[in-house]
Amino acid sequence: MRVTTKSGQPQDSPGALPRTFVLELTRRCNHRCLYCYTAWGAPALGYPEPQQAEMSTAEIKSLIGSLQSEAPVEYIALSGGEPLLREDLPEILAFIKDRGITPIIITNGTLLTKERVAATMVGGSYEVSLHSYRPQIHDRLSGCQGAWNKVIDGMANVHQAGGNLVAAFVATKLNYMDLFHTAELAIALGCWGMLYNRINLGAHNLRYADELLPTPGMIQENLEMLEELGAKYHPFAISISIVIEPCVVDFRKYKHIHFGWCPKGGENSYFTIDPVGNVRTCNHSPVILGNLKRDRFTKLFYNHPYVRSFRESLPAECANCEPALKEICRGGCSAAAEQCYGTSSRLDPFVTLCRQCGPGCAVGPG
Amino acid sequence: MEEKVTKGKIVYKDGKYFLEAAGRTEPLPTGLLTDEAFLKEQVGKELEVFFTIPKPFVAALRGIGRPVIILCNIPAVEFLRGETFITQPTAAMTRNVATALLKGGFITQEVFNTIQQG
Repeated sequence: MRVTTKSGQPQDSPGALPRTFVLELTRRCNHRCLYCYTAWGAPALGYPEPQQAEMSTAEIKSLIGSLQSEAPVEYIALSGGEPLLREDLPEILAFIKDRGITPIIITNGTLLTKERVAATMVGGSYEVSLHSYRPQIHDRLSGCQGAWNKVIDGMANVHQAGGNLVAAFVATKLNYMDLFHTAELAIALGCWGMLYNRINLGAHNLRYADELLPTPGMIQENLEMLEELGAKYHPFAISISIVIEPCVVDFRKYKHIHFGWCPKGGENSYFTIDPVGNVRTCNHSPVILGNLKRDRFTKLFYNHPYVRSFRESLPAECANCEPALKEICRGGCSAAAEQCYGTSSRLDPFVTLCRQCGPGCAVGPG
Repeated sequence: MEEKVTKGKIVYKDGKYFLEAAGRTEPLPTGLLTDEAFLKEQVGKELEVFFTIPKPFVAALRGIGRPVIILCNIPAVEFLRGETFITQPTAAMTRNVATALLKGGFITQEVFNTIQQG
């Protein structure tokens, strides 16, 4: 069993800089995912810069170099949009690898042809979306007919080439019941882990909340499935990354699942750089702190008032929560609150909506 | 970045648990993130330590309840940090699971063939 423990958790070392960054290479995407959380996906958020604007290969290399001169960068997750739409992805990956940084490609998987896999295989890993063992459900969530077949081919190509594969499952009302067999399909495809994310609400996907938002009962059912999977398919690793707040489902009885919490702008954060160099506290946040083509990261990290308030924020609804739970949860995803309410200091909208879900809801109104 | 060690020891002092490994003594959290009963049982015994990361100190041990905080939305990073002991599913496991999915009618023969090619 893979288990780890770490001193001082979940607190960060005072003043320590992050080691992981997300680089959104492009806004372009060949999918239209219903659950998409990108800040630029919702015009109401007023995210700046034209859709097609992207840094050149040279600008990206320069930005990575200067970031590395400021922070102990160990991992860069390449995201988008769809990062494989950038023709220079192999060159960017090679540069990252040459700098001693481990890359992670976060992709919808449809463009992982044998040729593209060969060109991008530099020792990092591929995190590929797989939302169902049923093609029509995956395609519905992806907003792209025929996506599932391409994803299966793409994952098989990565496995055949000996690459590291992790499947990403976004849980919604449409696919939560498919989780067990979808995880089995991931195992059959050679994945060594699954990332389980309940849908994270944002300004774009909020319109689909009625159709997509799983109830706490559905989430709990999924955690039972994951627990069973973890026991049955050891050493298959299972990780929850979008916060499942303890007031929605008590996570403490699940021994085979890794639960993730929001790092709140601290050392374990993954500050996110968009395709033109704007930097945000994470890939869900719509708030631009500055631009790394002109601003120093350390200055933003240590001094930006938004980052400081982000670190300190605790929703009023959480005041009476059990101290230990409050310490790790801190109101769930602040970026989702920022997207939906325009402030990071409110409770994660997932919790608020769960509390409104009526009879049968594990939390209930209140 | 990552250093491999093989042995460590849990010690109990002033009401707190500590891990001695890789030439360091680091406090171990209890409660939500770890199983205190397990820690109590292990005090003084030599333990296998899969890997450690010096800063911030991370040690991977067998049987200590709750895992580390995973980075939101990119836990592949955490998976990578553990790659020294996480193993890919074996060929037999992937084949058996694929066969079960096919027999159960969850995937088609075509998909099964694609998986087998991989």
